[in-house]
Parts: sequence; structure tokens; C-alpha cells
Amino acid sequence: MSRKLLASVIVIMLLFTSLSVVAQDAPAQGGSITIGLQAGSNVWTRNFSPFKAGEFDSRDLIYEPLIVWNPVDYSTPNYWLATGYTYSDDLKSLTFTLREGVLWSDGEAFNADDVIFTAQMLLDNPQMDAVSFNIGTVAESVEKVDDYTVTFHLKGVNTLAHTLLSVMNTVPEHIWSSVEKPAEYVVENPVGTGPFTEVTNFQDQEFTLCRNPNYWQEGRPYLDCINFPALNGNQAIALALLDGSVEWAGVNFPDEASFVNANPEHHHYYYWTGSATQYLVLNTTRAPLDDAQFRIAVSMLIDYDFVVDVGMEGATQRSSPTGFSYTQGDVISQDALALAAETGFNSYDFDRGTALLDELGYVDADGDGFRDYPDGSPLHLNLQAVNGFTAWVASTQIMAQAFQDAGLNITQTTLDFGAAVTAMRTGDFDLAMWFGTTGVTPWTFYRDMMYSALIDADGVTSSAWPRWTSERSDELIEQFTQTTDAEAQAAIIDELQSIYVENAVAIPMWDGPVWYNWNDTNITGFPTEDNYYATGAVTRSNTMQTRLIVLNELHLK
Amino acid sequence: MNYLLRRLGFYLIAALLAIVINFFLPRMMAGDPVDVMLAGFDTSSLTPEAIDQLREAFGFIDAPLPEQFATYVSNLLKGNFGVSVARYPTKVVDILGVALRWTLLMTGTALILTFSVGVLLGIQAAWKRGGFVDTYVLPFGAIMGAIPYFWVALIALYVFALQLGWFPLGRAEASGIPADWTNPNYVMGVVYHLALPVLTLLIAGFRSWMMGMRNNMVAVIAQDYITMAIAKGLPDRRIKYQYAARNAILPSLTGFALALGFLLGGSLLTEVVFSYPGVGLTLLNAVNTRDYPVMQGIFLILTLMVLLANFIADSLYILLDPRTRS
Amino acid sequence: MTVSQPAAPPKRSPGLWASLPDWVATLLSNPRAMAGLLILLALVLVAVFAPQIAPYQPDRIVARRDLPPSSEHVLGTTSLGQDVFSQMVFGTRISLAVGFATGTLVVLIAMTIGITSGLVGGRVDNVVSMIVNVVLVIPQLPLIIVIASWARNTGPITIILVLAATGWAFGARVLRAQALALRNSEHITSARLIGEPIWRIVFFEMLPSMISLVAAAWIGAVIFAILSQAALEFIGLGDPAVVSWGTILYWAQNNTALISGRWWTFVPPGLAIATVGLALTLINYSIDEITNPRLRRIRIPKDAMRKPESRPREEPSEQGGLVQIRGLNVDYWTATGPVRAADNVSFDIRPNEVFGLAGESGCGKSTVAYAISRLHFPPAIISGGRIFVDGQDVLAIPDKQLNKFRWDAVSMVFQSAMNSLNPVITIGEQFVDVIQAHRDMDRKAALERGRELLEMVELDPDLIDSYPHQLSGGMRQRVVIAIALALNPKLLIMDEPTTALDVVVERQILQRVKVLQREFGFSILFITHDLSLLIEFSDRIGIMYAGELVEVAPAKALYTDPQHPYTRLLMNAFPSIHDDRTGRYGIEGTPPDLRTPPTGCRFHPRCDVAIAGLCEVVVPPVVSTGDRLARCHLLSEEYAERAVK
Ligand code: SF4
Repeated sequence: MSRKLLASVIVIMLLFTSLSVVAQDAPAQGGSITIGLQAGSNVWTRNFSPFKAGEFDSRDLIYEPLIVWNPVDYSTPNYWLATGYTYSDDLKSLTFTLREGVLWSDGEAFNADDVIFTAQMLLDNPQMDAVSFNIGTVAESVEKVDDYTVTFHLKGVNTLAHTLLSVMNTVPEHIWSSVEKPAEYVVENPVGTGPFTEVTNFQDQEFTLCRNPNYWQEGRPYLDCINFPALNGNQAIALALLDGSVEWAGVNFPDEASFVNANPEHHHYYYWTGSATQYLVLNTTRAPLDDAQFRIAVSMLIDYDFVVDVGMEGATQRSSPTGFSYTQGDVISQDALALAAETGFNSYDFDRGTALLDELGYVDADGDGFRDYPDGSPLHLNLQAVNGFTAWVASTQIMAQAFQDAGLNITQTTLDFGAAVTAMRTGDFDLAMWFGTTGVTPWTFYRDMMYSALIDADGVTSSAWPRWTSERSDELIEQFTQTTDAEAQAAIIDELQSIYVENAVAIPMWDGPVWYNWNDTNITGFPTEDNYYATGAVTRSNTMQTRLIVLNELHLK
Repeated sequence: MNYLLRRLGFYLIAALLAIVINFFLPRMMAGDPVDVMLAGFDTSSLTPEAIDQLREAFGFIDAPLPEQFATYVSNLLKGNFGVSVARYPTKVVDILGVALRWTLLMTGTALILTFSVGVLLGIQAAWKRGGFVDTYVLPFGAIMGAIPYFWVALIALYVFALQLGWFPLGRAEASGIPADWTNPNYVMGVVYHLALPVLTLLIAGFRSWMMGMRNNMVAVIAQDYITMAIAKGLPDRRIKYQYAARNAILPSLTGFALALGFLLGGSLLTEVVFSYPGVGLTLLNAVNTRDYPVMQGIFLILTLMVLLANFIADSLYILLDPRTRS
Repeated sequence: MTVSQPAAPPKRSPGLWASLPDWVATLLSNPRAMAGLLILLALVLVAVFAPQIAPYQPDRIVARRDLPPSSEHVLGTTSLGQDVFSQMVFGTRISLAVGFATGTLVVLIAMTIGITSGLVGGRVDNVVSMIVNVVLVIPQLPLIIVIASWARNTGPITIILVLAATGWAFGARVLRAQALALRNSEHITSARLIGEPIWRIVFFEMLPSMISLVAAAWIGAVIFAILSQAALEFIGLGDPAVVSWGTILYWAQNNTALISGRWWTFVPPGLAIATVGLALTLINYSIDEITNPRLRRIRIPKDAMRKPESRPREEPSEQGGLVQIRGLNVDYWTATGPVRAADNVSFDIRPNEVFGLAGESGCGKSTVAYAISRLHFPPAIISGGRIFVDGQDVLAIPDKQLNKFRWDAVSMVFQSAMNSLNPVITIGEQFVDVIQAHRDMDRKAALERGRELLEMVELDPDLIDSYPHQLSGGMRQRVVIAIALALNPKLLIMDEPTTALDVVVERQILQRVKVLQREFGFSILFITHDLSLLIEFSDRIGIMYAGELVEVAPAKALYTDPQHPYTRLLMNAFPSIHDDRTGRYGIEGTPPDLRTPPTGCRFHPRCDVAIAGLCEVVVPPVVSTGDRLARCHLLSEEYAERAVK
């Protein structure tokens, strides 16, 4: 069966199922689902604290965020424990109004004291904060206005504070206030506001969370329980998906056909590609990468479609030259795109690239088959990938081949993740595959990438990897957070995009896909390609707590 | 007794060496190990004090090396192996506790099985030269010894679990039955999940015992007391076991460390292949998440386990060999 | 663990190169080793000529991904679209290189540390062997994983270093043991005395004698390295950009090749590793067999295993001895065929008689003794003759009834008392088991009988509860004698029973045996190379040379009038009748190689009265006169006649 045909079959089937959903008034409660988290471990430790490291747990299902941000539609906040937010006029504080009538799973009422307690605890215990919600980067202090209103005083003007602070999961004060060392507190039987709070089974490799009897959303959740088997690695999850023991997972199935063929009616996958861009970072402090023309020439040598098809196994799409996903089309500046088309930045044109290199004087002077610096000295660069990140290793392999074909002596090296982080932080690399950061607004991307304040005197940085800065871009980045005027912000973003493209700050490669596979034999209500109401990520992260939305929608067939 | 004391002293030295390796490895590496550990966190909001707190939690204090070592050792003695990086603030000891349980179960079962089967086959191979074991099992063992173990295990998983469905697709417990060792269903589930990993270990692991035992037997059979036993007209079985095997097994016990090391290596990989929640899988997960405190804790605990097992083997040796008792 | 047993130190040390061809020739003559070497050679050739053999660059993407094998891509393509066959070919390079380099490094370290330590000895050796044992006891794979993950960038070089750093100890232990065994041999001692530098001794004196062990250690290390490298790379601790068999497996696993049914990226690397492992194992086995001859399997033709049929069809004679041996042939089978260790031996042992049997080592005297109890096992085979003990046709006893016959009629005291008792069970057990095997007696009664027997050999009966190692050599020999007498046998064979004992103890024990013999009335077959002792102790004596019985005579007659030239020479060599150290008689020359016995009279090369033209051509007849006989031309009538002429 061809892929197209297959896809249309799926679409038809999904249409049918979603129609049947509409037909019913309210789905019946009951049933359980088994989800395959890409766990960092194959053994669960019974600790339901939301303040532990490791993103792959159940914290958001037990303790909830104030707002759930859905990457599919960032412009519509999903108000959760909060019902709204406002900035003060000086933009230095942020006030959340909280939902009334929410009960903790033990029956106590939820109110502002819980939110304040949680926030204060994180501010008092920075190492706890660092491994969990990072509110300390933004908030200075927290203050109670009334029982359902909370104000955060910010460290500086930051109009993104609402996106950063609202992800915090609130814990009950009446339980945690008596805990002496909250950072080390082990929560065996959690009390939360979330849809699934009751631990009914806890084995070393599997636990079950069941419905919160006091859940605030009427009639939700439909499902009674969620099983969490501890699975680790693609292989383990793929096996579980294949034999049907896991119904929802997020693995990059290298051979999707074998998954779908195992049960064509019920096995599905869809990789949404709106997540953070991954790109090729060029160290602009090193010759010849300090030359924007050289960087542009390099960007012309890469056959992006081939890299995406082979390196990423076709699971995603290439990103726009401005660093954004085409999925976020409305953000992308047309001026910047036109500029890119003119300079040739970030589009594959091998001959133009080599011609540009010739023009710049990078020709083979000593006859060894490789281009040299214009002054004749030999040119050799390293292209870094991270060991274990197979897509990066594969695509750098492809790129290195293309560079060699173009006469550039660029060789691939793979580093261990730790070593790679150090190299990126200290600037000890030439070219490297790395991820971009993603946030609720495009601003995050440019701030993290180009803001000079993020690079310290020794050239060490924790996100501005290319080390390219300019006064104008700094200015724009700062201005952005000083205004709430959407139009002004859009203009800033447009100009940043042009600067980015003009200077070839970094070479965008592809959109990070959200891996998503599901099996609807028993359960339905999943996001589908046609009705992708929330991202299908089965794991949570601070920027993606959308499974909370999905799990409230899932129900028995 | 003297012998035991000497062995004990020896194991203490070995344990000390493991501790020293563990202590110096991270400190010998270029760069700050804490930086590497913290690479996974967003540390931009951390104050220097907070970073120091984390440092300490991971077992690194700002002090001269000897003092660091002293703190390190005293922490170990208190059972404090530090805190996991990837699963902060879970204590390494807690992670090890769970993992050790499963590894002991699987490796223990495999040890007993491989040892019994290997030794019996070794006895048989030496006793009946040109017999079935000598002609067929021995070369089979040799072939198995040359094949990467994990490869065999993966193929076994593919054929017997995925294709034929005779065994579960890895993991240790039946799904949905709460852990309760008095519940026969739970125990059955555990046994069912244990079967394929242990069988593959058996196939791959009996060989080292068998070869060792065979060679010892061949050497023992040439001894005068065996000839005398034959001349005495003793029944075959008695000569085979009481005279030959009893003596031949002694060097096997002293060679225990090597064979155990091999088996342990095998079982680490088995756990990875079968998603078995033991020490090996935990070690691999720790490697993948760069969870150095967990890695080091595992290395240490495994070393101590091996030392303990060797000590038990030594004690057994004393029971079996009267010469060591005087 | 054969390698851990030091082989016997060779008698002389040929130079490194002089010894090599011999050793290599043996190896090459072994078909298994040959097969292993050929496979290895083929793989090395593949590695060397990889660019010529592989149709594509190994890391180039040359086709669509995940293609099954086809004529264009023999082993299909990877999940990137690289040619698997080309990857396999180039992978051979890295995998073999890592294996060989690690093996060499490991052996170099092991050799330097092991041999030097064994050679220097003393405190250095104590410390080194302690370190070696400590390293051995630390679990290897976890250590490798921990080191490798701290080492961060784990390309082949790192892997080699890590594996070498953790893998040297086993080889060091083996080589140290061997060095220890060698260090006291003559040529090493003399080399040290003349002050040769240690490294010279290590490389020019010791290494040649250890070359097979070193080779075995190298092969072991190579297998270890190749398997470990694959395991490390498989779990993701290698450099995935390097094309080796391990990384092919890593990528296959990462792309769930196996569960998606794409076997072609998964199966070939495993098979390749197995092939190398197998080839090396084959070679190692052959080396093992060369160093440890006991492991060698000798093919014996089926018909040689059959019961002797060429034996003389005679029945035991009435007035003959308690033991009657007629035309006994015993063959030892070697790789090149049978060697006759006892050739047509016939003699009688009379009731109540001590019959002595003497001769140089290897002359066949023990062979004859073992034949009487049917103690020969392949490769030794009784190929002819008959043996009667008390009228019973010993060679005709069915295998199943052999155990009844043994010890009951014929018991035996073996050469070294030290080793003929089972060290791990008590003396009492060793009485009980033999008594219960033959007599219907309960344990208590058997133990009581044991105590009685101990008393008979003048030992404290309470020793019944002790273990052999708690007794002195003399006491142990008494225990063995006591056990030998447990069933009141008709014949007691004593095979050089006192070799390891000092003269005083020896006398005491033999006198006691004599007393018991008179008391209980059994016969003794007494075997020794101590002729003076023999003459004193025996009633009649037989002399053996090169598998043949050359003279039989009453002890006194033999002493006063030896008939055979060999006997005479033995007598003349008195009193330094044998050299304790070499076990050889103080007469000139060495006993012949039984594989190619001398023609004519086997003694002629050493005989001082040999008759030229006769002795080396014609086999001398057995001449019997009265109650003695001898095998020499000088005694034959024809010769006497000729001499008269
Ligand atoms: S036969 Fe000849 S060679 Fe042999 S012993 Fe007699 S004299 Fe000497």
C-alpha cells in the first residue's frame, strides 16, 4: 500500500471515528490506557514530587499548571488553574486570577495560598527550581492579593513572564508546609488537583494512576486509569507498540510501515513539525566562519531535502531561512524570505556555493584537492555531532560528504553529549548540529541565539552558540520585552529575521518533529492529522504540557 | 581460618582499589564533572551557593584532594552514594536498591544454572572422552563463546518472544499485578519473565565453567589417586564424583572471579536486551543520561557484590578442601 | 583453564628462532589450527584490500534506504542508504585493527609485568601478583563502561586503551606462573649468574620457552577485545561515525532493524564477529593441545581396541605361578601410531614370593604391573598375550566384573604415596569405600577394619579420621599399604613404593611389609630401579630393557652371576646405581626411543660386548637354564658353538 493511499485510508477512518464522537453526547466514563513514555530509566522510583529532574513523569497529571500552552496554537491560552493574567502598567509585575471551586484530591480547597507557597518554596530552594520550573529566572517575589489572585514581582521587565511562570505545577500547601527539606521530599501518595492522582498499583516497572474523585472539570476525565510501564529506548517502546501493549507513545519509528502494517486499522502515527528548529551552528569567532559570505556559501552546499529525507528519515520538514518552522507561517517575515532568496542563504545550490567560494578566494592553492584560505594556508574544520543523537550523526555524515565534494576539508567528529555541551558553551567548535530553543513567542529564539548579554567576558554562553551579535539586534531584543503592543512586537521580530538572514547567523536545518504514535483499538479521541487539537506528545516538558488536554479527551470507544 | 582472613584482607584491598578508581576517574577528566552533570539543567538562574549545594549533593566539595577523599569514603560508609543527576533528588542508594534486587534474582539464577550445567557437562566431557558431550557440546560451547552474547540474546528475543510469542517481550513483572511475593500469580509472572533471559545466559555462559571443569578433570584424572581408586575397584560413579570431580572443582572455585565477571558482563547486556530492570540496564540508562553518580554507585556495588561472591566461593573452598583448614 | 597450569619446563633452551619452526610446524600440522589460520588470513586480506573489494565507500549514501539484498547491493542498504556489504568490508579493518592492537598491547603489558615479576620474584612478585589478582577480581565490563563514559570521545584508539588497561591482568597471571616455573631451570639461573640484563633474559631466554603461552594469551586478548568492542559500540559507547562491525550493529539496533525484519544490517556483523572468534578459538584449541598433551585426542583404530586374539592358546599350568604372564604386549597409541611399551613379556610369580622387576625409566616395568590389574586405558592398549592370576584369565574378565576382580585378587601400592590418596576425603572414607565396594560390611565395621589395618602397619588407629595432608610421606605410604591389604589380596604390586621417602623410613616400611607377607602369605611384585634394595628384598628378579624382559633369575644368582650384559653393567654401576636427580642409571648412553627400537638386540647400541654383524641384525633368543633365563646371543648355543669354533 502506498503511503498516500494509506494516509487517505487513515483519514477516512479518523473522520468516521470523530463523527461518531460527535454523535454521542458525552462519552461514558471507564477504561484505562497504557502509555509508553520515553523514560530515562526502566525502573520507577516511587516519588511523585513535581520538583525532581527528568521530564518524563506524571507530574502534570497530578499537579496542574496555571495555563496549558499548546504549540499548535500559542495564541489561545488554555486557562487551567488560572482564569486570566494581567501585567502591571510598568510591566514589572504579573497577576494571575485563579480558578475557584477547584478541590485537591483529598477534598481540601485550592486557593492562592497554594500557588504562593509553591512559588515561594521554589524561590527559596533554587536547586529545586533549577531542575523543575525555573521560575527564579523571571520572578523576584510572589504576593497574595486575595484568595484567588496572585501577583508575581518580576526581576525586570519581561513580557514573556506569563508564559514562563504559568507552567509551574502547584502543590498543596496543607501537605508540603510541614515538610522540612522539600528538595528531598519523597511523595509516595500524591495529593493534587489533576485528573489522575490516585496510585493504585506501583511495581518496579509499572504504575497506575487513577481518576481524582474530586476533579474540577465536570465529567472528566473519561478514562479511569493510566498505566505507565517503564520503557526505555526506541526498541523497547517500538516492541510494545508492535504487540499492542502500549496504546500511546512518542517514538521515532524508523520504519513506520512495519508499525502500521502490524495492525493497519488501528495503528497510527503523525509527526507534527512545529517544534523547535534544529540547526547547524557556525562558530563566528573563528576564521573563516567569521565571514558571512563564507557562511552563506556553506549553506548553499547542503541538500536540505536530502538531509531531511535521509538524516531525519523524512519525519519532518526543513525550516525556513529565518529559523522558524513554516508551520508558524504567519510569523515569518516576507522581507527576510526575499532577502534569503536573493543571497541564496539556506537554499541548496551546489554550483552557486562553490562559485561563491572561488570568488571569495577559497581555492585549492597547494593542489591537495582541498580548498585553502585565500592566503594559501590550509583550511580544515570540524563538523561536530553528538554521540547517540542518531539523526545528527547521520545528517552530519551527509553534510561532511557534500563539503568534501565541494573541496572543503570539513570532517565529522562525534562527541559525547557532555563534551559537546562544554564545547558549545566555551566555543570550542567549528561547525556543530544543535537545537534551537522554543518559546511561546518567536522572540525567545532570537534572544537566546543573538543576545550579547548572554555571552560572558570569556566568551562562555549557555545559548548564544554562534556568538554573533550586533548593537542593533541587542536593541531590538531589549525593546521587545518593554512593550505589550502586538504590532510593535511584530515589527521587531520582522527586523530580527532580516538581520538573521543577512548575516547567516546560523543555518536552519529542519523543524523538530513531535513524535506521536497511537493505537485506537480500545480508546479514541486522539489528536489526528486532521484534528490536531493539541500536540500528540506523550511526554511532558515545561513548554509542552498538552497531554493534559489530550488525556481529558480520551475515552473508551 | 587463616586462609579466610588472608582472603578477606585481599578483598578489602580490592574494594579499596575500586573506591579509589571511582574517586579519581571523574577528577582526572578534563573539565569540571559538575558542569557535565549540570549540562542537562538550565542553570542560568542558579546562584553560586545553589550550585555549590548541587555540587555537594553530587559528592563534590571544594577542598584539597585528601579531604575530598576522606569525605567521599565516610559518605560511602554511611551508605550515602550521592544523588542521581538525571532523577534528582532521588538517592543513588534507592535506585541501586531496586536494581540490585532484580540483578541478584537474574544473575543468581543464571549463576546457579550455568554453574551446575557447566560443571556437570565438564565432568562428563572429561570422563567420557569421545562421548556425546566431548564431541558435540564442547565445540558448541566454543562456538557460543565466539559469538557476541547480546547478539544471540537479541535474536532469541526476536524469534522466541516476538515471532513465536513463547516468552514475554522483556521486563521483569507481569503487568498489573502488584508486587507481592506471597501471591502465586505474581511469582509466576516473575518466573515467566525470567525464563528467556536466563536461558540465553545459560546457553552463552555454561561454556566457561564447562571448559574449566573439563580441563581440571583431565588434569585430575591423571593423578595417582584416581588410578588407585580404579585399582581399588570402586564403582564408577564414586570415582567420577568423589575422587575426580570433588578435586577438580576446587580450581573452579578459585577461578570463580573470572567466570563470575564473565557472567556479570553477560547479564548486564541481557538486562539491556530484555529491558530487565536490574543493575545493567540502570547502568546503561545512567550512561545515556550521563548520570555519573549512579554509574559510579553501580560500579562500586557490583564490585562489592563480586567480592562478596568470591568470598563465599572461598568459604566453600574451605569446606571442600580440608587442606586449607589446617 | 589449561593455560594456567605451567607446562613442564623444557630441558634446554634453544634460541627464539630455533624453537619457532618446530612449534609452528606442529601447529600447522593440526587441521583445526590450519582452518583457523586460513579464515583469519582471509579476513586480514579483506581488511587490507577493503577499498578494492568494497563496491562503494562505506559511509557514502549510495541508494535508497532500507533496501533488501539485491544483486546491486549484496547485503542491502542501511537506514541511511549506505551499502551494507561495503560497510562490512571496511568494518573488518577497524574491528580487526582494534582486536589485534588491543591483543598486542595486552600481551606486551602482561608479558612485561608477568614475566618480570615471576623472574625477579621476592617482594616485587608478591606485590605484583597481588595487584594482578585485585584487578582480576574487579568486574570488567562495568569498569570498562565507567571508564569509557568518562573518557567521552570513544573512538577506536580510546577503546583500545580502555580495553588494554582492563584486560592485561589475566595474561599477566598466566605468564607469571610460567615464569615462576621456569626461573629455576638451569639456563635461566646461569644467565642470571653471569649477570645478563633482565630484559635480555626475558626476551631471549624465557620468551622462547613460553611462546605458545604468549600466543594463547594474545589470541584470548584479541577475542576479548573484538567482543568487548562490539558490546561497547552496541550500547552506544563507541564513535558511531566510525564504520566497524559494532557500529553497524549499533545503527541496526537504533533503527530497530531486527524487529522490523531488516535482518541484513543485523545478522552479518554478528556472524562476522563470530567467524573471527571461531577462527581464533580453533587456533587457541590447537595451541592448548600442544601445550597440554593430555587434551590431545589420539585416534585409535577400532580393531586395535579389540581384545587381544593373538595370545597363545595355552591354559595356566598347574604347577606354574600364582601369576602367569604369557606373551604380554602393551601398545601406547600416539599421533603417529602405536608404540610397543611391553613386548612379548612372559614370567611367573609364585605363591608367597617377592618378585622384583627392575630397569631404567620407561623400560616397561610399570606397564607390566598395570596390565596385571587391567589398569591400562586408551591410548594404552593390551594388544597381545594372556595373564592368569590364581587361575583366572584376567584379560577375559568382562568389563562389568572388573571391579570385583581388582583389589580383591591384586592390590597395588603406587609410585608416589604423596598422591595416591584422595586429598579431600578422610583416610577412614578411603578404607570404607574400598571395603564396601567388595564386602558386605556396614560402615562401622569397615571403619573398625580400617583401624585394625592401620595398626597392622604400625600406625595410630586414630589417624583414621585424618586427611592425607595431615600425615607425613612415610605415614601416607603405610596408609596406602594398609588399604592395599584391606581385602587380603593374593598379589600385592608395589610400584616404586619408596621413591620419595628417605632411606630409614624406606627400610622400616619394607621390613614391615615383609613381616606381613610372611604372616598373611601373599605374593609381591616389587618394582624399583634401586637394584641393591631389590636384591635384598626379593626372592626372584626380572630385568627389563626397552619393553622386553631380558633376564629373570633368583635374587642371589642374579647378584653373584648376572648373565645378561645389561644386568652386568647395572651391577657394575653399583653403588651409584642411579642418579636420584635424573632417575637414570649410571651407565652410558640413553635408553632407545621405543618408536624406533634398534634392530636386532635392542641393547646393542649400548652393549660393551656386542657382536658386530650379529647383535644389530638378529634378534637374540631367550635362553633358559634351570630357573633362570636371559635374552642374549652370548648365551645361545649357536653362538657358544660358533665361539668354540
Ligand atoms: S645380544 Fe648382543 S648386544 Fe644384546 S646384550 Fe647380548 S651381546 Fe649385547
